[in-house]
Amino acid sequence: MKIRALTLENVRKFGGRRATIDGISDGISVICEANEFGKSTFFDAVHAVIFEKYTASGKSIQSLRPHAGGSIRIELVVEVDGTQFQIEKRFLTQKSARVTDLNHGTVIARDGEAEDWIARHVGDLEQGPAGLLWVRQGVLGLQPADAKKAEIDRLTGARRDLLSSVAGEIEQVTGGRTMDRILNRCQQDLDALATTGRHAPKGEWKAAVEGAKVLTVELETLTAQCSDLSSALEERRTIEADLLIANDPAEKIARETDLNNARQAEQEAANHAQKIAAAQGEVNLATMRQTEAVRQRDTLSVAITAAETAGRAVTTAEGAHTTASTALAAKREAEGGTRLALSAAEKTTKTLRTEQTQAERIGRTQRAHEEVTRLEALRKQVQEQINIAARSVAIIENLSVTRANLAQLEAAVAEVTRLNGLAAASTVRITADYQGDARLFVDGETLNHGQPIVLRDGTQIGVPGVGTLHVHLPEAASDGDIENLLAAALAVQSDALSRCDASTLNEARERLQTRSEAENGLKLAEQMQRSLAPDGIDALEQALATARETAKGSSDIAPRLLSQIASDLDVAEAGEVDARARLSVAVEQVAEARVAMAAADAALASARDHQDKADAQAGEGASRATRLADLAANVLSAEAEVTAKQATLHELMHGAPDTITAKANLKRAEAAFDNARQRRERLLERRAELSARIDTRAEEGIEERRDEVSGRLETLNARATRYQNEVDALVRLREALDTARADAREAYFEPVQKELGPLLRILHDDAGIDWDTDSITPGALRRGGEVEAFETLSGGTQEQIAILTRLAFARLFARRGQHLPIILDDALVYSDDDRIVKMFTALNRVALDQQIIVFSCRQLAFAGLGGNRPEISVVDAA
Amino acid sequence: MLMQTVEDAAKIVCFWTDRRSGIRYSYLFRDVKGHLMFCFLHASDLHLGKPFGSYPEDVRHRLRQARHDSIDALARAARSGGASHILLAGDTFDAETPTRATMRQALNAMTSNADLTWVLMPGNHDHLGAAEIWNTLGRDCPSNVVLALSPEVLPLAAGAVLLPAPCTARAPGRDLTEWMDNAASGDAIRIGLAHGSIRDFRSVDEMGGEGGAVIAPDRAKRAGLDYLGFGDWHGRIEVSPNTWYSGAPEADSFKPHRPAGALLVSLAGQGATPQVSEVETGQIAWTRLMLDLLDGEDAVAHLMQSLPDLSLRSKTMMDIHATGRTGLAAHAALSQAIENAKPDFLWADSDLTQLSLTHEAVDLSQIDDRGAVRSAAEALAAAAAGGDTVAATALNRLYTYALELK
Repeated sequence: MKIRALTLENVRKFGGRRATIDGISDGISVICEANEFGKSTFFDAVHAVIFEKYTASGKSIQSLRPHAGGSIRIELVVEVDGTQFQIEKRFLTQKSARVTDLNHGTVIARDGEAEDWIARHVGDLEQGPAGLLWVRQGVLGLQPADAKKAEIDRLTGARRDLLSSVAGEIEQVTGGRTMDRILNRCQQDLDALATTGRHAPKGEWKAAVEGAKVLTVELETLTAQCSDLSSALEERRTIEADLLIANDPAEKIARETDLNNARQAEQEAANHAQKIAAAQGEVNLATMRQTEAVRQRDTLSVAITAAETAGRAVTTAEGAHTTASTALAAKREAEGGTRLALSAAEKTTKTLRTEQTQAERIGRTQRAHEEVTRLEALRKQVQEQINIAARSVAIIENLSVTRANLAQLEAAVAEVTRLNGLAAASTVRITADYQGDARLFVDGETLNHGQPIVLRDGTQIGVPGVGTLHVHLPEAASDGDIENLLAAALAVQSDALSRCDASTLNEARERLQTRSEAENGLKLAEQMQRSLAPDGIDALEQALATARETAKGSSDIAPRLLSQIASDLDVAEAGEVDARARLSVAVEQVAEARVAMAAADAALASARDHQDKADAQAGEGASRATRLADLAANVLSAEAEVTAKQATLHELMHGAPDTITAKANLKRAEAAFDNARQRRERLLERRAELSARIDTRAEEGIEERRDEVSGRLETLNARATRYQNEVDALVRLREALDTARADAREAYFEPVQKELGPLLRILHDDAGIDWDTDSITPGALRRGGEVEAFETLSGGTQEQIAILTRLAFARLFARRGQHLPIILDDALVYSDDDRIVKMFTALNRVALDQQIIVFSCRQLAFAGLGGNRPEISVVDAA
Repeated sequence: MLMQTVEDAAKIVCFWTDRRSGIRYSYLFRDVKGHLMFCFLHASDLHLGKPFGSYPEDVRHRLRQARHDSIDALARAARSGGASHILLAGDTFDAETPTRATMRQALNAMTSNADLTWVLMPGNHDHLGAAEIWNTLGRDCPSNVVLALSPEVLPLAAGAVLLPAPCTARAPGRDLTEWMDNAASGDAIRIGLAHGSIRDFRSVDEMGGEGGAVIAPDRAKRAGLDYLGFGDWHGRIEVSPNTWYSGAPEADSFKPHRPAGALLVSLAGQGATPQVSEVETGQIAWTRLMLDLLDGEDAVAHLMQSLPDLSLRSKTMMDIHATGRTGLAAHAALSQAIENAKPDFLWADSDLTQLSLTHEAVDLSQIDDRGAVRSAAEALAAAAAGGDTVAATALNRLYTYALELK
């Protein structure tokens, strides 16, 4: 069915007027009018004509009533199969419906029949295409956002009905409730055995797996215990076998025999060793006896020889002794002679010395006199110097001025002088050099010609006839300080003069000079004293006294000349020295002779001593040979005995058993015996341990428990495997069902996808729609590998997809024989310029064999849509 | 000297016990025809104390008790058959160190059957090295229990001797019966008793390239034995007319053995061919039911026909294995039938993993006619047809759910 024209009379804002849209063609017809023109009124009017009964008076009809009221009349010219029909309906008042064949101008149906005619050509009113194909103003998606549940369900049913008409009932295709029940049942069984997601064991399966784990651990423990038991049994068997051997009587007897034999062998070896030791002892004894005999023989022989030698030595020593004695006598005689000579020389020198002493004494006395004279002169000089010194001291004591005092005085004088200078320098003086009679007055006193006066601060100089000059001087020029300082300096100077005991500096200097001279004189006097009497005058006095004492003696004998005496004395002394030397030599010789004599005595004594000893050793001379012969015989006898004993020893050693070997063998046998005993004890002990352990395990029935646990484990593992297989089968079943259902859904939506796909690709490359199977609406947009839920898309995209979907629905309607126009009232309000152009392309694509009527107030935006612009006229109703 | 005499219609047996040694002896008897006979029961592998851990507690208890009860069962069998001796060829006890209770209760049971002489020989489980067993038995064994612990001729009765080959270790590594060849026993009947394999089932590679320690299968002939009784294999096997494995008196696995029991052996004299008869002593049956199904076959009916009689089920250990092919519906029905039958048995288990699933359109239609569920079923069926067992199980489950939810 295609719409060709629409006329409204007394509808809504067209109250009392007729508004007509004429010339609606195939393809796209665009009615672009401004807001408030009444575009939606036209939309609602078309809807009312097709989908509302002429007797209806609901809200949708009431909303068409004009303000002034009255009958609503709507005419719709449609074309069906090439023939134009006019459908006219009056609502609210003068209700009627009429269908007129415009080709023949005949009314072909009225009222109810007219409604039937409309339904036949448009479709089921309830499931009509209006909601699927016609976009009301403000509807963004496939249904109004504020639609009530009934409306939503109706539209959903319409969509489902449309798709089902092409692809079959969705319930049938996807399995419907049967699928849901089977999936639920499958999931229940699966949930009972496995967790969701990973399908880990749960419930009975988990119990089987967990039980198997527990039994595995238990089995491992029991297996280990059984292994331990087996090992213990095996070890005990081995031990018992070993004990059998260990307890074997034959073995025991063999060990004891071996031990006894070893002991006996060792004992025999020991005995034989003792015999050998005894034989060895006898050999040693015989050897000792032989050695003794030889020693005795040799000793006697040596003694005899020694005695003979000693005799000869005595003879020799006696000879030497005689010689030494003779020599000593001679030396003594010589010593006597030298002593006499010495004595004479000493006497001579003594006499000469006495003479010399006397001569010297006389000389000393003379010298002493001379010394006295000298010393007295010296003493006089010293005394003079002492007097000089005393006078100097007196002077010095009388003059108190010192250099220091003088220096202080000079400093004080200098200071006074300086200060006077300063005072003089700081004072201002004037001198008057008069030319006339006038005279100056200074402080009331006349200043005389050429009289210098000192000016002070405040001095007034009267100048007759002129005035008074007041003198103002700076502080530095004040005399106050200088006067004070000067006064102080003068005081110091006075004090210094006092200390110098002078009235003037020159006087003080003269006094100091005098003192200095006195000091110098004192020093000189003292030096002279020291020079003359280095030890002091007292020492000088003493020397003088001594000299005087010495000088008291004198000799009346005229001595020979001291030199003569000295010469003689020298000769005598030399002779004495010589005699003494000769005496010394003689004494030494005598001493040497005595030493020789003593040595000869000693040698003789020693020789005699040796001789006595040798004789003692050798014995009586007559029996010596006999004794020597006897001893020689003893030696031979001892040698024979030694030879015999050695032969016996050799014989014993020849057949001797090896004691070391015998001991080693005994040690071995004892060790073997002990080892066997200890081993037996260890085996018994170990067997007892093992038996206790085995008894305990046996009592526990460990092997039975192991086998039982093994069997139970096997059962549990088999059960777990069965559950695993069951889970695998359930998972497989669920996957198969899910896959089949998904495939069915895909097949169900395939028709609409086929129509929608090309249109969608005009806007989005490689895009697709995921359908919500409950609402039969686009659930999500797939593009660029991402899936975006429909409600998260932008308003423009939602609007576009909804319109494209309606276009696809229109195609489906056409496939089932219902060719219905698509009406868009102010659609594409959210689309941007680029998308709107693409939408226009999509609309034009569909419009190739589909009538599309577009109402819009956006003339510029929709200029690019193309399409036909029907005529619109509004006239007053006649 | 104590003497007892047991008479029945066929035989006369005399027993006497030496007071000093405590050893019991029996006289050979003559049958009613006057033939000299020696009759004994050959059994082995009681495995007393075996834990059966892979079974629930109550089942384990029943199984262990059954093994203990086998002593009385053997005694009854021996008495019924006129045997004077019961020769246990090894593995009387399952472990090297059974609990004292196990040993004591076994001895008590044997003591209670004092009219019979029990000869116990070590096997590879209760080998000689398990000193705990043999020391305890040696200390506590009653007079009617003889321990054959040495490889030497052991008089059983006047005119009959036993040549035992007790196992020395878990794996002796040699043929312990070799000594029998040169063992002299005069004119007495020579009965050999051994424990081990006459055929090593391991490959040469598994044995390290060497031959296994097997017993010569013709030992009876080599050693001039009138009878050689073996233990070790739990199924009864005739090796030769005078060489037998007695099998275990109580089954302990699902291996396809003859019914559990022992061998009643009668020997007329030295060189005579033994008369051997099998006696069943088992209390609990171990049955492995192999269901080989054909596609389209009524699997449930096949199962029901194959299950033992109701009266026997409470004493039966049942292991059902299904192989072959079946459709979805039949598979589901079979599973359900097995589940329904399980409580009848002492213990039951089933394995349908080897049963291939086939499907037809009608099977899938029962799941759903169309739509995604049908698609899923078809996808799983295709995968199952390609050998994907997980897909097959999944399809099975889907089928079950679909039927359940309809």
